[in-house]
Amino acid sequence: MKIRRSQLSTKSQEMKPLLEAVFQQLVDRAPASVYASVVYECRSKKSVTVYPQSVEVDDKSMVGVNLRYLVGATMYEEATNLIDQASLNECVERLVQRVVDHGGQDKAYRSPTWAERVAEGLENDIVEQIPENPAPETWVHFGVRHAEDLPTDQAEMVRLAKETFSDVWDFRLSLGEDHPARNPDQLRVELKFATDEFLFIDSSVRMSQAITRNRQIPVLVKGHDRSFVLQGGIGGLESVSLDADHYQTLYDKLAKALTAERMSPGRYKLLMSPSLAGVFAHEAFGHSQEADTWARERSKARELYLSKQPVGNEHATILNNPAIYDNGDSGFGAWGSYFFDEEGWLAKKQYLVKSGVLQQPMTNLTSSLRLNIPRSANGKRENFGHAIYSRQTNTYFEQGDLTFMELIGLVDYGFLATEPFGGMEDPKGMGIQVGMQYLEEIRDGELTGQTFKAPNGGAVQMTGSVQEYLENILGRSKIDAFSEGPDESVHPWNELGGCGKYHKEFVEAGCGGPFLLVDKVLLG
Amino acid sequence: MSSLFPSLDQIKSTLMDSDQVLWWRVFDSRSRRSEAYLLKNEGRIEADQNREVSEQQVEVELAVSLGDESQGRVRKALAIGVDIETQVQQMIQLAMLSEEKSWSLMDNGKSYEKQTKAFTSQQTGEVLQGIIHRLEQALEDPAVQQGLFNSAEVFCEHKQVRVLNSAGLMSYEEKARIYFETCFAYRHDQGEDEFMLTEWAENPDQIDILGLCRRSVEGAKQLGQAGLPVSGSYSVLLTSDVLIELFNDLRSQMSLKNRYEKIPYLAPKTELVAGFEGTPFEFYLDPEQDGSFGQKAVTSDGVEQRVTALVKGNQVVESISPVQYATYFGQPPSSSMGCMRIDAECRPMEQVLEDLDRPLLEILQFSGLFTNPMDLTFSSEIRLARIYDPDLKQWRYVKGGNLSGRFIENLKGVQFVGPNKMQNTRLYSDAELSYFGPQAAILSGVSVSS
Repeated sequence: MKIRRSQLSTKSQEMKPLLEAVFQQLVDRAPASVYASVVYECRSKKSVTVYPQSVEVDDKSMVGVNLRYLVGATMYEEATNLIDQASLNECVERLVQRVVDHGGQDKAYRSPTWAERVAEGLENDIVEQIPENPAPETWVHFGVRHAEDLPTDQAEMVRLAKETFSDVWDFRLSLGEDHPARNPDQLRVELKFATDEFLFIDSSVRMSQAITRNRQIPVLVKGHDRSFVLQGGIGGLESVSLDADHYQTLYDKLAKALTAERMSPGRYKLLMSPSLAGVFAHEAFGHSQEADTWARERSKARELYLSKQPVGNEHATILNNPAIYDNGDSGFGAWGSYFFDEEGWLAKKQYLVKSGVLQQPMTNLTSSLRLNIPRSANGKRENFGHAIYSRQTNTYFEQGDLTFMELIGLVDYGFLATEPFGGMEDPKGMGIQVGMQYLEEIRDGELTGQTFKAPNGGAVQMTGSVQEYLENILGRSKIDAFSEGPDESVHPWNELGGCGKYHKEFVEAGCGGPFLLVDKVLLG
Repeated sequence: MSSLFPSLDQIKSTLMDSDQVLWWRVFDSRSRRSEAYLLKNEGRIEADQNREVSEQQVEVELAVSLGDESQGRVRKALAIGVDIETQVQQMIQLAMLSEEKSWSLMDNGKSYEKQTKAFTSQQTGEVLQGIIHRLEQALEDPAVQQGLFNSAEVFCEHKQVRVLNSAGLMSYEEKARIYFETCFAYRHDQGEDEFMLTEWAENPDQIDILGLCRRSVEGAKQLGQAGLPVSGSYSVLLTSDVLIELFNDLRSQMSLKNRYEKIPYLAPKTELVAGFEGTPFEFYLDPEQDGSFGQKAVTSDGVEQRVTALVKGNQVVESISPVQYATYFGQPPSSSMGCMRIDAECRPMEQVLEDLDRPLLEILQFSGLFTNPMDLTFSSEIRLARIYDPDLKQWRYVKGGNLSGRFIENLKGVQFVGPNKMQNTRLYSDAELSYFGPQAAILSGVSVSS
């Protein structure tokens, strides 16, 4: 059967000749020591939100281009959304002038050829989309596998979202009379289909990709509390499919929030769900392993890497991987996946921490040059109007070999955390903060059914030292934690998420892992 | 900047010609931004990235009738290279898929204009260079030289926004925005610590570059000698960068939108804080406050903005009522935008310390403040704070541990510390917030666990 993959829109396809011409101008006008590239993006989002009283429909599209000159290790960019020959000519003129003013004499950066890229060892999903021996002028397109076609008509989206709304609303009638969430104040259903299209040109390659990133989120509200189920990933319609198990989870989550008591702050054993483990990984040695943070001398990880000092125990293995095209057992790709980053580097799995030992960081182009370390596919920006930073894609703990029951059996008293409520990095201070909406009590290896919130009645915060917590990991589950047999899934589940760099620059990012048990976690 | 979009007259006439469009609004925004991302290379400041951004966006919002007192409505950015008639037709089709109870724009055919004197769109690069120069000068300061410069980011943006609507409104607004971020480290015997500070402003003169550099060095220095706070209930001094978020959550609960959506809503005449015994304060939305990002003459739905009291005498006075929700509840619309202004009697810090009878925890920086507008709770790890001992009359620096509170409860015994301060910020979604009021507030009964 022929695999169906996402294609470029006609609009993006038609940009190619113009961008090729502009790239040629950049090359022709560039001093010998300058590396030129062009990046075009079209980020479009179609969404429908169904409320009891209304239906909101949205269709947004943001198109932009960055013309780039790299001089030494400094990136000069002209960014605009006014894309026609005349406007881009003006951008070229301005860029040339700025670089001439700089007067750099450094050796020019050389981008690798297709042969060199393929020799790096890439995921099959990437390799099979690259034609044999492409020339630098050959456009190579990467698309996301679709098992089920996405609707092309927004009326169909409205129908789907309304159907979910009715199903979720009616589901409450199947709950027992005493179910605390049986009568919510409000329900809304958000359905979003986003497509991020990129065209990248430099002297070695011409690439395009169309990433279809979809999600469906039903949200229940009662009083001050709410619950939601995140369903989504990169793929086709299959990535937003919800069923009765999801609805039961949705109502149960609200009930757990509604009945939570206020906890006593202290240090406890904490069993993290895959999504919580992912936030932990992301904030622990995700942000501190961003090479631009190293280059700014703002990460302790650089010093720890050079010293080879352990930063955790044998369970502390953290990866970043933009090339997850099968997320857990879902059959579609993880939220933060793509085929190449926004500087034209192909996606590949990378260890950030291996059995407690730090590895090299994730890079964007300038940080890779400044630190003289290998490039990785982590150059991302919020949109064309923002700068490139080293950013995470899907960050997760590697799986272990225990089942969920074996792992929870290690807890005499502690909590299960399944609902993330934000997190914050501290790459230099090596502190960590992970928020959790509520905790479920575990006593003698079993859930008691009692839930807890923070002493203020809000979200519980885990705070403390990254290294201390990575030393205190007691165990990890398999990927398929609820089955006795060996894992069938290749990659741990990565949850949908977003990420800021310090306090700004929002990008999509996945995070996940297996269930992870950590001892002596400060919760309050 | 040339435009590739249809002219506003063309858009207006297409919308007026359509017999399906009930009402419409058009937003034309043009911006020019210069950005520098700076770090240290061989002892000198160097740009890691240097960017110029020019952008124009034209958005159209329109409503169509669905009968039975309901309407469809959609807002969409226009595409380049597609004729306006086709785009409007597509929007009408899209709007027919949405559904809400009908409402319409205010009848306001006036014109409004607000220009900025800070800088023009041609001057963003010049202003950027001026700030970098001031940063270079700050690096020569002896106190700053105790630290190690790590990085800085500087953005200078000039934006023009034109709005017109089917009720005849025309408004033109210019905005100047500057973002400055700097981070210094300090080397101790045990290693290095860093302390990053950020500031948003309308005018370069509003940013005290030298002061920020000094504070960054001092923060990094103190992190090296800070111990863990003892768990317990504290009186906590929170500064305007935190208060802006807490008051914004409170403001959100005073919106009629919350009432309509059946999420937590503080109705007029509601007592704000049970058993209030603190310093009385008044909470206003002020669209005229100088130097604030919240200055606004008129909203795109046609409501002239005026100073509006939200809280007086510990009681909610008025709801925030945009035209849509005011229509739904049969009320007149009210102001919905502006700087959050707190009027209260403030005391100078020295006097506050003099009168203390128990320790005071002053938060210098949270690791990551999380606030929840649903229940008005807040929490964060303490990145750096100091505790004042009134017996010893001394400060002691602390870091770590988790602080958590519920704003509406912790306001019970609030005291304010002056003078007043303007605080501007921009959020992830590019939404802007402004606060003008006491530079700090002391909240009581805030929990710290360590």
